[in-house]
Amino acid sequence: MLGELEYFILSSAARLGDDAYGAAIGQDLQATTGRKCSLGALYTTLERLERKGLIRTWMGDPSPERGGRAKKMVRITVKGVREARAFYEAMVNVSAGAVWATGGVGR
Amino acid sequence: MNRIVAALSKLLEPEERECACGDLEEWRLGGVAAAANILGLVIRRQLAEWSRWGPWAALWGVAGLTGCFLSGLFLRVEGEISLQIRTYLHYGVAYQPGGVNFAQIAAHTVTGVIVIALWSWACGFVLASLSGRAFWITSLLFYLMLRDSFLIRAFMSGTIVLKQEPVVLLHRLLPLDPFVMACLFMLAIGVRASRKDALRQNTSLYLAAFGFALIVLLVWMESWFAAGFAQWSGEQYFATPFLYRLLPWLAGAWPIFSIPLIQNRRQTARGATS
Repeated sequence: MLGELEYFILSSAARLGDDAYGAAIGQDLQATTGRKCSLGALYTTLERLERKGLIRTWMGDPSPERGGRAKKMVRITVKGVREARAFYEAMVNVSAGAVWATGGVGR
Repeated sequence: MNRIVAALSKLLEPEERECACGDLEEWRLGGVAAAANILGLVIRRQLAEWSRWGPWAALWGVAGLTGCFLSGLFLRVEGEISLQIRTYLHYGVAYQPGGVNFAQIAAHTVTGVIVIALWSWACGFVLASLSGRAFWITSLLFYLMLRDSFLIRAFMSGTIVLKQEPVVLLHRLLPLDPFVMACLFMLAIGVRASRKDALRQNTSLYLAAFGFALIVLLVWMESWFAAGFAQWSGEQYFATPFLYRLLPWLAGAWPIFSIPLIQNRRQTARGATS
């Protein structure tokens, strides 16, 4: 089963598509979750995901806004999509009936 | 990109350094925030190395066990050379302890120097092969062990009291004498040989066999001094049997014998990927 940050990164990479790379994923995570993702957490999780075969990475083209430095491009694999779907379905199933899922305010 | 970030990023692999620094620039992070991010990545990478067995084998096996043995031999040989030089400068004759002649001492010293050179080279090779990104920690600890394990033993036995001899520690830590520099040079060549991966399997086997022969020869030569002590003490000193003296040295010299295995593993990995 995926970890929380692993799922977030896979979701972000899937959403960004061809524009998925390190810095973009970090910015997308902050925009969608409201939490800052440090460089250390981001890169170690990317390495872990690649080791599990859930993503593929390669060195992209440099760009001026990066000081002429290349970026680490990310693409989710078929196995990654399968694992992310399994995690999403598990989250939906385990949350069924929970007060935050039904829109209630709880006691 | 500030200097601290640039310096810290040198601890990363080149590709990752480029990506990480580029990301920091794109996030418009500077100063403390950038340094904290890079430091966090460096620390995570270092900690991740220690989840493998390699750095632990390098730490305990090379820096710990082998460093201890090499430290003892290093001190012995360094002491023999300095004693000969001082005796000759003061008295104009060679130093000859009872029962051992100058030719035997010279042969033992020369063999010891060659063993130290080969051993240092092998330690550099194995440290570089096993440590990965943790190389800077394991090599630093190896150096401290090589230089100072006698000091650690002396402190623990009460022979040296730290607050009375603070200068001793500083002097021993710095690579000031030619012998230490020669050791570090051989260590560096071993590291380079591992990184270049140019050592052939046959060569590594010959080196291991040569190392084995040298250590057996060195331990056998120790019996000359044991015989000398026995004679000098009026047969009150009894030497440890040869095999009991040899086995710990062979255990301590495991880096020399592990090089063929490391090269074999590399060849197998190369064959699997090609």
